[in-house]
Amino acid sequence: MSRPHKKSRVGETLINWVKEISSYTSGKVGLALLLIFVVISIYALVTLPPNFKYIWSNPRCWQDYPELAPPAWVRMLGYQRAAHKVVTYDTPSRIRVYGPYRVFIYSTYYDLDVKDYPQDLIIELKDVRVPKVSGRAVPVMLRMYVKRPDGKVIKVIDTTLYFPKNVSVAYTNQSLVISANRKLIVSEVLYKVLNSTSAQLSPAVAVNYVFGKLRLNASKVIVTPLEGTYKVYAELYYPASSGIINPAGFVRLVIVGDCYGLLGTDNIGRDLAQAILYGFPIALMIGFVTAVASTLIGLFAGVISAYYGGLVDEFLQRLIDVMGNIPLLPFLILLVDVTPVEYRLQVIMLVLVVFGWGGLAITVRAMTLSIKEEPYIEAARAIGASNARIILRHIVPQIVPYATATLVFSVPGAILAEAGLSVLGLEHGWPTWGRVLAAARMTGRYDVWWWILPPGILLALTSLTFVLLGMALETIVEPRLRTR
Amino acid sequence: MGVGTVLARRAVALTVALIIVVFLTAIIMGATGYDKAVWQAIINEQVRAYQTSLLRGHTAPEKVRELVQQYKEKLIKLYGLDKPWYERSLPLVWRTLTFHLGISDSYEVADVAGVPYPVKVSDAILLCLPRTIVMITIAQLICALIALRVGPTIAYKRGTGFDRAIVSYAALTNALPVWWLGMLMIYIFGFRLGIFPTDYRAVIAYMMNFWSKPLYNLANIMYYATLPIITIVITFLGSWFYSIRAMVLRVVKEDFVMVAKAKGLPEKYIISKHVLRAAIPPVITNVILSLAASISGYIITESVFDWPGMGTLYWVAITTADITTILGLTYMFTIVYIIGRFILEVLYIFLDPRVRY
Repeated sequence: MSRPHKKSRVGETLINWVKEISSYTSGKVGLALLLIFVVISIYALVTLPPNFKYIWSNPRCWQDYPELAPPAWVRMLGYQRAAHKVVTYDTPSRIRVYGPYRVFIYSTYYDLDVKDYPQDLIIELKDVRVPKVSGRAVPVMLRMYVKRPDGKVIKVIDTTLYFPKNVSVAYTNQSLVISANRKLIVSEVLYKVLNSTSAQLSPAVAVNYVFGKLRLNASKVIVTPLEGTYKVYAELYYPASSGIINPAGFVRLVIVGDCYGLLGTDNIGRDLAQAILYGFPIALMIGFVTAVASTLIGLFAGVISAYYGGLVDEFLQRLIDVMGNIPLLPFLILLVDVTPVEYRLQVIMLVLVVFGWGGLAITVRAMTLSIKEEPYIEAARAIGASNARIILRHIVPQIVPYATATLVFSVPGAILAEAGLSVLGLEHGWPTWGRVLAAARMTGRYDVWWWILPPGILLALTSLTFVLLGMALETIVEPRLRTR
Repeated sequence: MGVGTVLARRAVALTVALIIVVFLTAIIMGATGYDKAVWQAIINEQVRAYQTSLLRGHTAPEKVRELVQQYKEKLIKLYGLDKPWYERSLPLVWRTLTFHLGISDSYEVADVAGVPYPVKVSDAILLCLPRTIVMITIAQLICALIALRVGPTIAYKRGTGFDRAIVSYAALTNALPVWWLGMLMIYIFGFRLGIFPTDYRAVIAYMMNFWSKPLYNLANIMYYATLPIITIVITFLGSWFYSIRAMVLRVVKEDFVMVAKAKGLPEKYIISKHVLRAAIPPVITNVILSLAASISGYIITESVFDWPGMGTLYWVAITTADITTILGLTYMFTIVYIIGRFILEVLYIFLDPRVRY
């Protein structure tokens, strides 16, 4: 047991601990993992928008993402998945004059280099200038085309933008998102590619026709991917008399591929990498807050129980007894279920704190009972030290190493509890690893590996981190477990 | 204090805990207005059905309104919604404590139990309990047996490569959420390889008519239970190894083991006669507590496998807000757990002569 420390030595003690922990292999690995987790958490807090919780649960924010797309790097492993391409413009690529119109053209090229089709074609517009002719807002035509490698041009969007009367710039808050018109594509393909009126085309797979070689077999159409370079361009028709030179502050052409980002997407196109990233700080927060609170309560309940004895002791011990006899999981599920969704995460943490301190308190009580009888405690009392001083300066510091080991061991408990309850089906509104898994489970897609594996592996890694650290700490505070 | 007094005191403490659990559960559901909302929904449903039947019977509209109003008031009185929540909850607590668990209102609960609606809560529990035992309790027993066989040897060989391997395995599986492994196992062995089933509800049929064709049914039950059991054993064997190793390690360093070693006794003899004997109380605690907790502790795992046991029953009762089943099951979970703890107290006194309060 270490001697009681002065406050100025706390930093030194911490450094010593880190040194001692890292003298064990498990401790070294644990510390390294913890460091990585903390760094990623900070990165997540800095980079992700503060309202990510709402973005995640709002399907509108994920319209121009592919659905159920594997990570983009599977292409490098030879998987046939069409790439995802996003091009953003603040000025048009080209301007041409067409009768009384000034046509603003946004264009890009897309390479289809695999035997697969993109999922969709999307144009996104924001801060659109409203053309005024003699003081009145006039509508604007929007057209989008795909020029195929075989030279055929297919119109995929043909629409008109109508603007509110009294504004000069429209769609300032939320962007306008328009995806390819399936029915238009079908008629275009019939007329321009197949030259047929009897062929059976299905609007559901219209995008495949745009990016496919079509062959007629009786009236059935057989589609195979047409590899090569496509030109995708959108045209905005403004009346030349409106004098507008740049029609929109933000235009985005999206060729929605069949793979996305680092970790793929889920069934409504949400970027899983973002949820996984956001899960880091939340998991650490849930784990640490719960573990620190229950450890503190257990530490002081144990010390007080032993130090004061009598009725206080009896009461605390019976309380621990009763709590130890309550099957926690059913109780937790019921409590979370009766709680309104926005407070559920807090309730999970609270219940785990309230029920989590008993075990530590029993051990701490036993330790305090023996420390209490040491001569220096008696000496402290003889020179008139207060109870609070004796507890805080002479007893607690000796128990802190043991309590720290317990704390570290108990961090994953709350993280796993939250994940488990989410997977069970109890919503709490925060995007966590558990929620990602829960969504996969609710849709029954156990086969989507990029949806199932990363959150589970991260949950396991988080607990592994603290188990390893705890094991190293345990060997330090319990020398009998030492192997050397 | 004599042994009798000690046990009596423990029994009282455990009973108090039991009663508190039932009270707390009823209070949680009553004070939050949870039960009121549930009963209200049931009443609305019944009133609507009554109204439809009246309208079909060509009763005059004014008469219908009056009859419906009367019927609604009758139901409100019947379910006690006109009274404050504690007047509703207290009789419910009393009925539960005296094992009058009542009848479930939920179709899903009857479905999990595998019998036609409506089902008595006590029947549902009696039907689901053996299924949980078949899956989880057996898995825990397998873990305990393997760990007791191997654990002491690991402790004795600590520091070797074998010990390191086992400790790493323990750390790794301790970190693995069992329900997540379950999801993976269902996908790999169920959907992908087709070795094991993907729909586990079907086990009900074989359990219900077990005695008609015992061997055939046993084979089928094993077909259904194997994957969940393997999943649980893989995840929990590690922590079993680790805790038994730790308990034995504490004993190995004791003086009397040193003496035995110094006397030149063979290792096997020391393990079985000296080490295991002294390590038995904590080991037994571990075994019994995990067996007692196995009835209530696998709600998530059971639900992932959709295994029609106590855990799934509880979760279905929660999702369908079936108050009688929730209360009855909580009572059962606690009773099983508490009986386990009491057996432990009794065993302790016989196993460890030092325990005298």
